[in-house]
Amino acid sequence: MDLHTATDPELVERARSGSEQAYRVLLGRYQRPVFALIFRMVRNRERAEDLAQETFVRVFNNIDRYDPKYKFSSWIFKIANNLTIDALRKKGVRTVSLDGSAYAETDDETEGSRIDPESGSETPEEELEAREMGSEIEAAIGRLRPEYRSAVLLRHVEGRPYDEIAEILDLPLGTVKTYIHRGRGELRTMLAHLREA
Amino acid sequence: MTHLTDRAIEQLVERELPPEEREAAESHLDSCVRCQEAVATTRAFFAELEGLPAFDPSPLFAERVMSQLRIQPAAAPFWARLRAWIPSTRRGWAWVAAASAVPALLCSVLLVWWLTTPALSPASMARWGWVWLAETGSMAVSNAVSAIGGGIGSVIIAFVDMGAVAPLAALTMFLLASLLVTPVSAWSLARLLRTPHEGAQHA
Repeated sequence: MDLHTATDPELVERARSGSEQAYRVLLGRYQRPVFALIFRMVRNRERAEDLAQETFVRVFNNIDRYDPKYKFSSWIFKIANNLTIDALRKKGVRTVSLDGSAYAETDDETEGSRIDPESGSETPEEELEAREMGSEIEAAIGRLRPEYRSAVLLRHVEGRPYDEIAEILDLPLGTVKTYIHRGRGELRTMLAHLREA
Repeated sequence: MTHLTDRAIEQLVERELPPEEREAAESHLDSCVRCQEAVATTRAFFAELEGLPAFDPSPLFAERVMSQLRIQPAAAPFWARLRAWIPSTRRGWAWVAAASAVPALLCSVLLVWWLTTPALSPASMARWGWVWLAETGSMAVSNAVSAIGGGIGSVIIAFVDMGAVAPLAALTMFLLASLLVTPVSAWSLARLLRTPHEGAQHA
């Protein structure tokens, strides 16, 4: 079997029987979305890497406990989200500063924690605009309450369906829809000045 | 004219609106410029969110994760686990041969003694074996039946009691076990002789 084309449950089965390659394929499949979610939540690369690493180690070392009734992606995002929310709570932070991460302890770290999005624009003007827009959106997302933030990120950045988000966040479907609706509302309010300009 | 709510517009853009409400919303949109603009703005806003860049962890991330995993092979099937106990070295076979030789040797000594003792004839031994079998068999059955209600602990105690009152039975059981071990001893000795020394070099 080509592991790169195998489904998540097939890979989990292989991993359970001791296949290192199956773990590597699962890691390759999820390291980017999991890291991106955590990075957008904590806005500190080093801390995000630590949390993402903890997520994968916890998931893989407990792979026998995975219940195939649920999606593997739900399980991994759930653990990533719980670890991140816990880390944010321990830090006593409900929102992230516009100028950088709450984890930054020096000016350099604050500067380094600013998210610098890639740009697909063609002209320098368009690129500048896209960078600014991108960073404004990222900053606005960072100012949402963590619960709204993870719900909005899972829906719009990771493209997860509502029922899966409910599973990940361990919340009723209606609550998830409300969180996402309110999160979007807050984002629109925060970004209204860009549209008026 | 009642305009579409923000929530209805979001549901419409995400195709989450129930069919009948969707139909009504689309019919309203045909004639409402304000709601058409709201739908376009919502669509653009969602596209901006979905167009946010991807972030990659550092190149060493995967190796750092892999180095912390406890990857264990799945439980081997019965025969594979049994094979794991079979020695592969001369020293291993020597241990098996030595361990199994002790009861085999004892059994052989008893056999020689039996054959060279005039008082014990094959007929008397057969009689003794039959009586023992009948007595210990009935004792074992009655003990097992009475211990069923008391769980595994009672079963063990019952059999220990049986051994105490019938030492002859315990001795016979040991002899039978020794007889069973004799072929193992012979086989392991043969394997010992056929297994090359660990230090042997192939030409």
